[in-house]
Amino acid sequence: MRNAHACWSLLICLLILGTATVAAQDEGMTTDMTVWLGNHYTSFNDYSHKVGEYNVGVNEWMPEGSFRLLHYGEGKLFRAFASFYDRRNMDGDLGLNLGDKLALDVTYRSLVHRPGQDKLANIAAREYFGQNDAGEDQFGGKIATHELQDMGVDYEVYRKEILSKLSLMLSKKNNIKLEAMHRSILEDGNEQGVTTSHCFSCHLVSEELVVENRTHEVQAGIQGDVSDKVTLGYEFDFRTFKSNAPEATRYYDTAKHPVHGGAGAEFSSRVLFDDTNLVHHRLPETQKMSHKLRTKARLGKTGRLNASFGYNTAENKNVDLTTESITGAARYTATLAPKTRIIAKASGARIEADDPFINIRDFRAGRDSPDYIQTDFDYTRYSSLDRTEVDVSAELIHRASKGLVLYWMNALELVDRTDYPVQDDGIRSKTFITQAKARFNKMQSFNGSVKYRYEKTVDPFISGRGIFEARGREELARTIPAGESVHRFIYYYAREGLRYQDITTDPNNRHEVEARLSFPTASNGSVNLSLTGWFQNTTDLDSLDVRSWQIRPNAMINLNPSPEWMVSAGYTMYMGKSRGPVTVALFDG
Amino acid sequence: MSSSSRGSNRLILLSIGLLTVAVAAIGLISSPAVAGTVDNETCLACHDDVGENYAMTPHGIYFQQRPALRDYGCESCHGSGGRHIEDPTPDNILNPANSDQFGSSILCTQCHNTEQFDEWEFSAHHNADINCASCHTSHAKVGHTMKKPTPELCYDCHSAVKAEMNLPSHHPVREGEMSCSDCHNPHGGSVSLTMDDSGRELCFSCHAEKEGPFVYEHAPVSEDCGYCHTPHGSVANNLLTQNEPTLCLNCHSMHFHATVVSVDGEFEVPQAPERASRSTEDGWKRVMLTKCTQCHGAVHGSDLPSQATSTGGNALTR
Repeated sequence: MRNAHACWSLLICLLILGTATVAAQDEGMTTDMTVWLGNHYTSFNDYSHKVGEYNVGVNEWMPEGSFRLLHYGEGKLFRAFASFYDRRNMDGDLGLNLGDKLALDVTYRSLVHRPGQDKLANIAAREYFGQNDAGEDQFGGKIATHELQDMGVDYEVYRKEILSKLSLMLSKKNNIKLEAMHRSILEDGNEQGVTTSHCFSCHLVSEELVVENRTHEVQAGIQGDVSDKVTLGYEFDFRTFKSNAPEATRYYDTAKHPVHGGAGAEFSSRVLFDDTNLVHHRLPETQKMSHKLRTKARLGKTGRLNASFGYNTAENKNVDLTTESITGAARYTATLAPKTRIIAKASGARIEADDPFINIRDFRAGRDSPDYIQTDFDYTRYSSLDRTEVDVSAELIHRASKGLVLYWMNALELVDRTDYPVQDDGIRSKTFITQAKARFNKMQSFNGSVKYRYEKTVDPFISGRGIFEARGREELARTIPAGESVHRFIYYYAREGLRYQDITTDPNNRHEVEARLSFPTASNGSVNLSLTGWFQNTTDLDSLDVRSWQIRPNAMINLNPSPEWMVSAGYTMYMGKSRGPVTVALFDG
Repeated sequence: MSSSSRGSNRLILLSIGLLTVAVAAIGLISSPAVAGTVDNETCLACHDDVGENYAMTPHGIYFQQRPALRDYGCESCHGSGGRHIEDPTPDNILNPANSDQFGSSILCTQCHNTEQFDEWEFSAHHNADINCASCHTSHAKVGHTMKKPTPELCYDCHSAVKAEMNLPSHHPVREGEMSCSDCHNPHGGSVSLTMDDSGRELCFSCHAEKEGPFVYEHAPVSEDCGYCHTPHGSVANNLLTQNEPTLCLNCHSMHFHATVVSVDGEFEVPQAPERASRSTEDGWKRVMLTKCTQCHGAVHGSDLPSQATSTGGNALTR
């Protein structure tokens, strides 16, 4: 059925489509115009929506077409392009170039994104304890229920983007140029929102949320030559994001014991809210601003230096939170010898975020049972964004012979997370990278490359909540006053702070190899073969023994019998394996 | 030489000068000896395939506006052609298309030196000896100077990326709604040719709603989107590197109601004997088939506290 639809669509489209190209020349000006008309029919009767994530079709014939116009000559160029697939899939482009004095470009594009997935898929509906001796299924007392307030809704977001760019030469004398950009992204549609109360009510509610996101960005900059060898530039960027969608609320259930339904007061004392309506989905209004100074300079006979310095802020206007960052980067290249170049790079950033104080109600406030302890959970949220980052690298490139180029690169990357996961004692990751590569090039017969890369990371990024807790429990047991009857399961939260926080599943050794071969064929065609692979493991703690590898052989043939025709066929296989005590790779593809 | 030609003529002469220097430099590196000059007409007498469109190529239009270059446009890029006329073999003429990074792009960037090429010499393409002619054809008409449209042009070399783009979850490149150049700058970008060196900044330029800052953070979002997402394509939904909950379990322990495993991978008797039945293989199955984001939906961060006091409101459930 599906194939039949595809075949009919293809056949009829081939019969109906038409292309017309017109070219004309008049007093030094040339006009090229191409019009293409056709139509398409898409049936999704047999398709899953997932396959059609972006090709959202309609079950009817739809005309489609495109138009391209080029009018140029005497240093001027005007171009126009428009493409219509359906009313929500359209592209357009208008451009004007007046030599090197002015360049103007306005583009529009739209698409529909339909994720085609149900967030409630595979929900484990009820505790299951296996079978008893009589072979009967045994279920637990807790049950996860769900409620679909959005039955039958196909979620989709209609995205439109308008981008305008302007480049204006103010003075040819010093090559002073003004540049400006504006971009708007408008997203309208709906998405699936799933909410749940806490453990006392495993009740998931799925409902339709309105999407009405607005992103606007303005960029302006100026640059000019301050001497024969030095160019300076300044760039300002301002971006805002706002959601105009109505806030979604839900009723959060009355607290109670998840199995027998009692002990409401006790359970209510363990949560921040219950028996109330609250907003459950809110995107903050944010704005981002950046100032950037950049320079490029010729140094010596072959040297070139590019450098930039930036100051950026990002602000959440809903809760008055701000992040500030200072960035700097420098890149230098020079020819050390006629056949040897060096490329050196250095960059750094300092990011500081506001640290809000989180003032929440006490755990078990108002409860006075001796079996339970009232606890104040107020805290200052130190940001995981606070950090200093430094990257430096140097690469030597040597042409050993006409067809052989050798590369050797070393790099060091440092990330000092100021307050993550512990205030004033963050993880300081250091990554050393070395890479060697050979590229050979026999233009008329073949070309290819071989690469090896090794990365060694000391103290890689970890989850602040850790992944293991068995020994932590022993630590916890020592914190409980002797003789007290304490319900230990209340204290699962405390284990978070007692876990081993120097354990990670991030690799601290990574080996990467890559080999490529390409054989040119007639008519700009090629046959490409490649083999890439990596192996990585974690050796910070031997008992973890986290390791994974992947190999990707790839073969591809490209044929271009004429400029209008391209034929390509390829085969890629991904083979990989991950191993870890916890990270069972059930679905890694 | 330039005393009487200021203004626009000065730019032309500067261009000629730079071209001359460039041609001379490249000639020293890899071209045959300079021997006499020939005009366009002589070149096009044999290379009629080039001559057919020459006047409508960007170079042809540019040179026609410059009297000094009008008749010798070919030599601007190919060097002096005298020796090639005497012995018309490819070895006797400079062909920028066949040069490596020590040659061709030095020539092209003499004229193509606007800010979009600022990072060219530091770029991954340049380092990989991809020269201008690898992607561009300088003898084609205006509007047709790419050898192929993208993404097919990019896929010629990046065939593994093409394969990734065919996985179920992907950015809409194969549908024509995005192009490689939306994220990558083929003329610059020191890390994977991306428009911005930071993965976060690049992603947030379109997905601004995920940047924050938020009251309740998810630490990997502060690090790199690549911790959870792979940009070109994946088997898992939403460009995740793995499906849930496997991805989440890379860093988080299983939910406390599910089951707990010890450091060495053995199942343990839970701390509370009355709940021993929970720590079973069935508990594993349950936790492995439930998506974490069914409850913890605000994985990119939130300003709204979650319900449990014990987590400090930081469970990202709303």
